[in-house]
Amino acid sequence: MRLEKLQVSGFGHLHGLQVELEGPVTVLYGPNEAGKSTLLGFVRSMLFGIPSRTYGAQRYEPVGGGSHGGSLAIRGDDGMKWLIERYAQPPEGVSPSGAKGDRLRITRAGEDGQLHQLSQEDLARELLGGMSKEMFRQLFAVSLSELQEVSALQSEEMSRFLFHAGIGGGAAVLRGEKKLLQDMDKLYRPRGRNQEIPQLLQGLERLERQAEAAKSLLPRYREVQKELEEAEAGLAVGESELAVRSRENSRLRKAVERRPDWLQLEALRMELEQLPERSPFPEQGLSRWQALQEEKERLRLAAAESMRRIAALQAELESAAPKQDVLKREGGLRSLAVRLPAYESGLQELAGLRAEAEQMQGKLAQALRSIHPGWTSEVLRGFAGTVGERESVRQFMSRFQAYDKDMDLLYNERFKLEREAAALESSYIQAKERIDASAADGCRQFAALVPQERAEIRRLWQEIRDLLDRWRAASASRLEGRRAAESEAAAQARVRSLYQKLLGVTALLTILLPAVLWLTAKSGWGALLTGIVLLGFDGYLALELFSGNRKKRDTRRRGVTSGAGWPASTATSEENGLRELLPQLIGHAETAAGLSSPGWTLFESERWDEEERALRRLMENWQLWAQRHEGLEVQAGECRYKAAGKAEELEGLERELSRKETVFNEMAREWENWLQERHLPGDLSPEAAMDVFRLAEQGKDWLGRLDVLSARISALQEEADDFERECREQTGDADAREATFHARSAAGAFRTAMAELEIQLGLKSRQERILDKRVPLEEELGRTQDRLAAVLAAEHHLLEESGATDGEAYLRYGAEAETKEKLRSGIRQAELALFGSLNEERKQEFEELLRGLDEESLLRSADEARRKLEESEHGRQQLQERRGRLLQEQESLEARGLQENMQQQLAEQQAALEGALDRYAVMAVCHELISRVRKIYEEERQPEVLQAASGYLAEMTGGTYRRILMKMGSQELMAEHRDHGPIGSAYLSRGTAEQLYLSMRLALSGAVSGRANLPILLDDLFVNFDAGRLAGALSVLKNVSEKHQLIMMTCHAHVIEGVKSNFPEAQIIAMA
Amino acid sequence: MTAFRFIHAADLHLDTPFTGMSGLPDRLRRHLQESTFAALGDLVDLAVSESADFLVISGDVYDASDSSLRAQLRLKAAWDKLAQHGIPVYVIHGNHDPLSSSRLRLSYPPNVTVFGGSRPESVTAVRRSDGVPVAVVSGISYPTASVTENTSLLFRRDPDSPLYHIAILHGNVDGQEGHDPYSPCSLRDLQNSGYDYWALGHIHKRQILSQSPWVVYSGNLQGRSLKETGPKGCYLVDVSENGEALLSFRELDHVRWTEMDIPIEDLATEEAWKERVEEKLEEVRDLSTGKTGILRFTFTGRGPLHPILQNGREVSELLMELQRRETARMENDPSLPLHAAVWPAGFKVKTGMDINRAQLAQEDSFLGELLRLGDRAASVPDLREDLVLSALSPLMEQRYLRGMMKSMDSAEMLDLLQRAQELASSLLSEEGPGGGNGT
Repeated sequence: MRLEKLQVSGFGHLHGLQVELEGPVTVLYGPNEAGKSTLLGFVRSMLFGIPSRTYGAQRYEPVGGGSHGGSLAIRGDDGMKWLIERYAQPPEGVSPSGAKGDRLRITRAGEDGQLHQLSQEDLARELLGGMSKEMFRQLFAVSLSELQEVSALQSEEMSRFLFHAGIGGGAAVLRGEKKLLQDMDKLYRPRGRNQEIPQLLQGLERLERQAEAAKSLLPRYREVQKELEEAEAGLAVGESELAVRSRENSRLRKAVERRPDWLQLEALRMELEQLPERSPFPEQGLSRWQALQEEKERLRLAAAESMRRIAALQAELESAAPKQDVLKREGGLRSLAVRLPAYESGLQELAGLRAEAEQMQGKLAQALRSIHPGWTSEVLRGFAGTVGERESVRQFMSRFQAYDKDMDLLYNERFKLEREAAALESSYIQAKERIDASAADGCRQFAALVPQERAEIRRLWQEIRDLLDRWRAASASRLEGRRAAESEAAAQARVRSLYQKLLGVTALLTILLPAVLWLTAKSGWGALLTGIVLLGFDGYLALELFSGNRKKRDTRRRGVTSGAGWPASTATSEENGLRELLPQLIGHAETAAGLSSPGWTLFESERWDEEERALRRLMENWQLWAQRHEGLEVQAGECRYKAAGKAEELEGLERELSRKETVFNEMAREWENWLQERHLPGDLSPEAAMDVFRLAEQGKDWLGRLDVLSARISALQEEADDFERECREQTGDADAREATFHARSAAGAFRTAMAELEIQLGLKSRQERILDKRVPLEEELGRTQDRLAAVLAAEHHLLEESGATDGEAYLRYGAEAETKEKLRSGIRQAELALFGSLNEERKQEFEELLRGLDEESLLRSADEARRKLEESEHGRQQLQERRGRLLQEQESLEARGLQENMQQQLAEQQAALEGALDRYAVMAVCHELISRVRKIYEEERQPEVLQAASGYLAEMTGGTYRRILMKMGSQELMAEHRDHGPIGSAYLSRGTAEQLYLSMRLALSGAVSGRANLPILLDDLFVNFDAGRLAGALSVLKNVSEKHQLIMMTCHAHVIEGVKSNFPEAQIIAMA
Repeated sequence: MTAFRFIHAADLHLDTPFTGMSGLPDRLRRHLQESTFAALGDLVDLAVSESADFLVISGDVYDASDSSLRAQLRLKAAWDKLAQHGIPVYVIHGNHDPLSSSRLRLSYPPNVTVFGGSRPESVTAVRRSDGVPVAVVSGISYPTASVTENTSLLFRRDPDSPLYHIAILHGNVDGQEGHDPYSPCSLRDLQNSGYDYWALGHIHKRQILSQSPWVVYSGNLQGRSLKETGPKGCYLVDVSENGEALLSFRELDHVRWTEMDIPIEDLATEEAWKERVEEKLEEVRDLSTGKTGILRFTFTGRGPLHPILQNGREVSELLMELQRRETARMENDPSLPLHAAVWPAGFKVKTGMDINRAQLAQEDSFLGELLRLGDRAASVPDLREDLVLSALSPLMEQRYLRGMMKSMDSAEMLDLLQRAQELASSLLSEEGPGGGNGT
């Protein structure tokens, strides 16, 4: 499009200005404040609207008031003319439509000259190709201030054009890269300390240090082992040295310690030598002597005491002597004393026994009386009462009882037999009567029968029956033929009844139909004809009916004749037989069962049947009767036979009875004899005899006991007498007072004698006790005297042994011996203390040592030895301690060695590190790839815009700067200097930077205006360009102007010059 | 020839740490630490229970660099126990426990024969039951940690001896990858030596290189890192009267390492993923009878879950949760043996975006450019090294990290590069139409 005419009504300080733009390049030349920039603003406002009051400076309010706006004439690329009128405040009378406060009228004139009014949207779309106001301001209507706004180039809108489509939106690359870098930074940064990898490294170093320490375990272990061996060896040496030194030391120390003891020993030895030699003094001589003296004295005193006590006991013995005669009787009295209680109880028992005997006598008399008054004790004694006798009584008894029982049975039987005989007799009589009655009945009922014998009757009847059956069979075949004839007659009767019915119906029709026809059809002929036809039909039917009746009658007649012909033609042999036999059977035909038929000869069918039945019935009745009658006869015979049997039995029984009677009489006699033999009344029954036995037995029992009692009484009496006699003997006055001696006083005298005896016995025992005491005293006295003799002998022996003449000398010798002994023991003790643990050799050595050294030198050498020993001990202790430490260290080393897991931890740490590194490496390589590709993109595969801009810049700078680069990340623009390489826009000189920006804008405007070639307005952009660069810029613009209308504003004359030389055809408009 | 029986073990590496894990609970750490000793104890018990006539151990009994006192004490205890049962042990020293470090050793009981380092030494082994000589055992130790000449050539069979000949050597046969080329030799060298059985050590993977003669790596006794997965133990060798040997492998390890891939293609949700991980964990638990399991999952493939896994937070959360659970299992019931424990040592994410990478790499876009650059770096070693090292240059400032960086090999760089590309894919497509999961 091209701007053709600008008409400014009021805009800033311009008003009423009209500018005609001709040709592709126009330069507005004027001094400052000529309104060049205002015109730039005017074009912007016309196209995109007057800015609101918010943007005060850009609004360009008219300075003197009045209408604010103007109009712009444009020719589109398609040749259509556009006119845009726009006012912020409309002039009077004009009210163009418009939003946002400004009034707007856009018209388009087509080639046909027709005007179209359009909206701002249409304008923006069709004329401006969708260009935004901002972009227009940045790219097409550029003043110096816009040129220097670098950020505008980095806006999203621009970068669409900046980058290649293949980048897929550089943003994704940038975002990806950024993310990558972030992730990498988390893992590692050079000289960083807190990222993952440095942390891992630190851990690794720490672990390595620890592992290094662990590694030293093994060498240390071996060192420790070696040291340990050394220590062991050192200890072994030290140990033996120590043993030698300690022995030496102890020897010397002992010598020092024991020197006083040794000196004392020497003194003792000397003293012992000074004492005189004597025969050996008895062992323990003094004390033994002393003890003997004391013993001798004590024994003398004891002997005197014993003798005194013996004399006292003798005196006491003599004062208590017992009476000897009393003592002599002691044995007899003692035996009596034993028998006394038996004697006394015997007396009592004797009295009791006598009373009992009397009582027994009474009972016996009673028993005898109850047996028989004549019985005495003698008879009783004679009565045997043996088992045999009892048995014979019992036999009698059972025999009597058996007899009674037999008799009872026989009588019972006889009675029964009599009764049965009577009953049989009577039943026989009854049977007889019944037979008679039956016979009479038979005669009455069957009088018609000719024969009287029952067998005869049966035979005849049998024959007759056979004949009858045969005859019957013959007559049955004849009946069959007759029945067939009768059924034919029945069929004919049915046909005839049908004809009758048909005839009825047709007759009715014959009457009714002609009448109806006549009445309805008014045709008398039709009716008449019908009636005739029907009548004819009736006639036929009637004929048929009558002929049927005739036929029937014929048939019946035929049937009758054939039935009547049958009996005559069959007079058979059976009938003849019957005619012969029947009269034999039944004599009086008239009377026989009321049979009415006199003519047996005629076998008329109806009557014959009846008669035959009657005959059969009669014969059946007769047979029944004959049977019954025979039964009765048999019964009567049986009764009579039984009665005869019973009478015979009765007679046998009577004979038995009389035999039993005689046996019984025999037995009774025997029993009487038995009783008399035993002095018993004859009338006693065997049962009573058994009682006698019982009583006699009791009596005998009592008799026996009576005998026992009397024997006992006499025995007791004898005993008592015996005791009394002995008692008298023992008490001493047996002869003198025998007469007056009484049973009772015998006991009393005896007791007095006993008391006397006790006194004498007491005396005797006392005497014995005294004697018992005296014996030990005498024995002791003997012993004391023996020991006294022994003591004197010992005393003598001691004196002899010691060589002393008397006791005093002995004591003196004793004291000497004691002193010697003390000295010896002192020496022994001292020697023991000094040389106790030493053998003979060492003892000699030790004594020599003691003798050889004086005290001072001894002390010195002892000190020396002790010091050496201490040294040795100290050495050993140190070695032991060292060994202990080493062992401990060895143990701890082993434990540590078994536990440590540094290597494994190290390996794990390394693995972790490797993992992190691996992740980092992948990302780093990825990053490297991306940045390399980006470099390719930035450098080799530049977007068209940058390529174009690079060309522009190269041209403007005369090849000093080869191309423009844009970093993908920061989108920083860089100019690549021919010699110095890429330089960031911030580092470029002002002029070069502006040239760079201009190149970019020109390139972008080329890219942006794909459809609409918008005019480019440049507001004095070349102020910082040197001449060369200006020429370059203008040469560039020349190329641009081939595509875009170019409007430049300047206040510089050299610019005008340049333009003139570059664009000879350029329109230059001078502004006041 | 007389029949006899011996045990061949190698690379005990007593008390060397378990690598590649962190954050172990104490109980598990103790158990791990104990495991090399437990394996040694089992070895001793096996020798006793199987009435082995002797034991040969092909070097690296312990790591001298770690110089663990415990290792020495426990080793001595084990030798002592064998001495009690009268079982001789023939040992050589390897690159990890060379003779030069012997000052750290404790003295051994007389049943232990340690071969010297200057030339192969030979002893005659006898059958324990009757003292009949049965085998000539030869061995050479490492005098220093690095032996680069072919010491196998020094072994020469005694031509007059009819006995079975056993050589103990610590070295790398035929230059196997990934192992220090110490005592390098070829299989042919060993076959030509005339020895009947080469008891080899140094390579921790169990392998039988030849059966006539037997050339055998028994592998190490107890795996100690994820590079040492599967059953570990020793060989029990029965030599019959006709000189034929019958080898039977005996597991002795107490801790077993397992590495497992989990593809994520079919996993749609986070829950499904967690479930799958737990499932697999239980699978491993069921399989590891009597051993403590240590497990690492590697998530592979392309799937919708990639951004979540890439993010890392969920992965580490799940790992911590699983570890927490195992810890709780272990510590709630201290009486429970650790047999049933399966410790998830880590998750490795090697997944990719659910995108068509090839197509993306063709695209004229930032990401396409990036992938192209990455691919170029993968194929051009110089560019790769330059790229990785300049990316990691900040780490170089730190001494320790510098050391770690220097040991990085080309495979690791490739791995880094590949994962970085995946990371970039997910980062840059977060806003794109396919990657709306980013927060």
